[in-house]
Amino acid sequence: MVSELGFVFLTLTLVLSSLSFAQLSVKGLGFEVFNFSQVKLTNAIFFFTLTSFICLTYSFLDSDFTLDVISKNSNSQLPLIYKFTGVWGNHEGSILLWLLVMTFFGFLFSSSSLVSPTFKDEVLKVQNSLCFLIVSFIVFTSNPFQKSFPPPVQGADLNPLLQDPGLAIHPPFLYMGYVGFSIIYSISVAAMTEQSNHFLKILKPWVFMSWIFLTCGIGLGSWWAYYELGWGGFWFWDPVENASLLPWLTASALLHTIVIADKKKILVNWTIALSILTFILSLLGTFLVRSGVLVSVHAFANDPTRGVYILLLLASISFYGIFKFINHQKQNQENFHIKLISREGMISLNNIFMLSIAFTILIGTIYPLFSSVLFNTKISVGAPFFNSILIPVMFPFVFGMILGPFTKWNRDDLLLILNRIKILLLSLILFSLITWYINFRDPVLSIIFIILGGCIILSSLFEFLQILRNKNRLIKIPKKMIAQILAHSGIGLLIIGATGSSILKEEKIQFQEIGESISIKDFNVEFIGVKKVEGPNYLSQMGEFKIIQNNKLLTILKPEKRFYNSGKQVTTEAAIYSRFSGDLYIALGEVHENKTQWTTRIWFNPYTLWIWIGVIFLASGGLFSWFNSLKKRK
Amino acid sequence: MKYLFIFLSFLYLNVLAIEPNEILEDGDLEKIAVEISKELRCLVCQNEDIHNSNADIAKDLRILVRKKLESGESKKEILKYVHDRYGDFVLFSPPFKFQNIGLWIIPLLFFLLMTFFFFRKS
Repeated sequence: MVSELGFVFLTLTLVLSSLSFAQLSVKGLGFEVFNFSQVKLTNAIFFFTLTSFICLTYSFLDSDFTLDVISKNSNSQLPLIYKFTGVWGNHEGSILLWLLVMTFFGFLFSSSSLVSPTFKDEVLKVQNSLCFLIVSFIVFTSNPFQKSFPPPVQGADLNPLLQDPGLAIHPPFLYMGYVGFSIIYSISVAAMTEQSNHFLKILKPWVFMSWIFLTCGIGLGSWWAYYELGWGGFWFWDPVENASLLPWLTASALLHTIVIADKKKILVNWTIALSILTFILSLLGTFLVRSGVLVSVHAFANDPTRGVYILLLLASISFYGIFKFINHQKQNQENFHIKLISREGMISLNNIFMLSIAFTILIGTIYPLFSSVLFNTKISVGAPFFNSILIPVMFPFVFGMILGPFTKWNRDDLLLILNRIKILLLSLILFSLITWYINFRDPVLSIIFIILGGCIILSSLFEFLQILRNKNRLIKIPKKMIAQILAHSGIGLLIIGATGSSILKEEKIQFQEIGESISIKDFNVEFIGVKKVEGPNYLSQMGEFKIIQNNKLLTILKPEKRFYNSGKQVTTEAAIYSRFSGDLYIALGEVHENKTQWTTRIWFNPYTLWIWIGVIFLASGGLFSWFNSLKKRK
Repeated sequence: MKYLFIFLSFLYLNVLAIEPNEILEDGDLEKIAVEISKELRCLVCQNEDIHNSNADIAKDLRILVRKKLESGESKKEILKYVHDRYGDFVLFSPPFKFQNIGLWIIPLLFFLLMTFFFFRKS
């Protein structure tokens, strides 16, 4: 009953959003037939989608196995929290969540009192049309309210890997990011139709908000991969990861450019182009992942109709945006002259690098596809390729990051800048020499990167001290600068963390007797034994390891292997002891015939904690900018 | 968006990658073996190097790499040997040849285009 209701509301959303879509299409042909309040329509669309989503959630909590999705992705034994998060633990439900977020942002935008009614109308028209495309995709190809026949008594399970708190909150964050870019697309497209001078001020908070969510989403995703997959790594250059990185990079470029565009009224067209591109890349990621084009062994959605539909959707949204942009560009030629050594120049450099990196990753991700179609050869593009391109690019990038904040607007002189920051330069050189001296035994690459990361953090600190000295009172420090300092330090921390946990990682893999001690770094890892523990829907073999340093017991780590009742599936739960100097990471392997010997995998991952701290720094920098831009909207 | 990744990795989770008895006693040689392993793709997996994969073919390759290292072959020779046998697909950084030139040229052109766009004299 509830699920039927859910489908009815979903259909209503389809009907309502089709009105906006029709209006937009008819307008493109040059005449206007019907007029109605987009605001009211947007509200109705949001509440109908919300009701539909609640119905699906209720069915999941109620373990209604008459629904196909639920019978395949849930189980009555499942803990309540995972019944709930199971709603988006599958293709159909996650697209419905996507739609919900999309309509919610439309709703938020429609309730803003700062936007002029005509402009708001234009934006919502585009936003609702996007909703129409997504909701029709759901109804016609991925209906979560599809019945299963005959309904099974018990559902298959939610994939055990998804039964994890880190993963449970990660997709909503990611979607808030991806889908936030839909509003950015709508605002930009509307700004080209309905000339609005202050659209940049309206756009800004949305850019920061989406960027923050996407940053957190990617961060949470890698954190989950780190502790759940039991490989001791956090980033694998997997197509799915690359897909999330692409819009993040262009959005990062966007949030730098929008500052110039707003302040100097140059590169406005470029800002529009970046906004459209960012949303297209969010969609492209979805297309690549969901269609199964890139990776064919995909249990999730290897359905050609879906692939074709997403491709059509992607093509129509892209062409509409690009077509509008080209027309707009013709009528609004911009003349600008940017000097390299100036704040604008430095931000342009940032854009050039961010986009080139994004483009390289895009080419690397889809090139195997080209190659197999054009040349009929299968090639692989993986971590070594991406690293080999990224590593050299990091140098000018970091250099720009250090110089940029100290550069003046309009025009500046390199010698003057260097003179202004001579104390900083001196301390950077000193820092580099000391770091090199202390770590000279480590691989050269790792020393270089730790120095690069450290230099960014130091220069941010220096900038902070400079503000303190100039202003002498804390209250007046511009939020913009705090945001920039936080975010840049975040990148520095990230570089150090990533270097430590990839290049400097130490790995020990062995058959470990119960009672045996393994030494790694300056730790002794003593294997106490393995006990059986019963979880709510799984049985677990829980190892116990004493972590001893200098004859002092630091902690007991308990890595697990979980056997899920429903699917006979096994997951590894690594145990991690985190400190600033590094993570001690243990994964439990197989037991051997004599029953006293287990395969254990022990890693020491230096500075891994700094990655997560770096992400928090990035996000909090974003938050500062977000609040700041919200205040300055008028 | 990560689901794909999850499902794929899930297929290979029962046993974790390299086993203790495969590891060479000579630490320096083992380091090179790991380096090589990370350059080679597990042919039946999705985006996994042979070091982290537990598929049989990955295991065979790991053992082969180590045997060849012990018999004194260099990293270059071993990579070449595996490449000759299994083709381009096995290498994670594609070989530099005509069909793959786009991987480097297209981003480079893009970079130049962007630089021109921002810093052209109008």
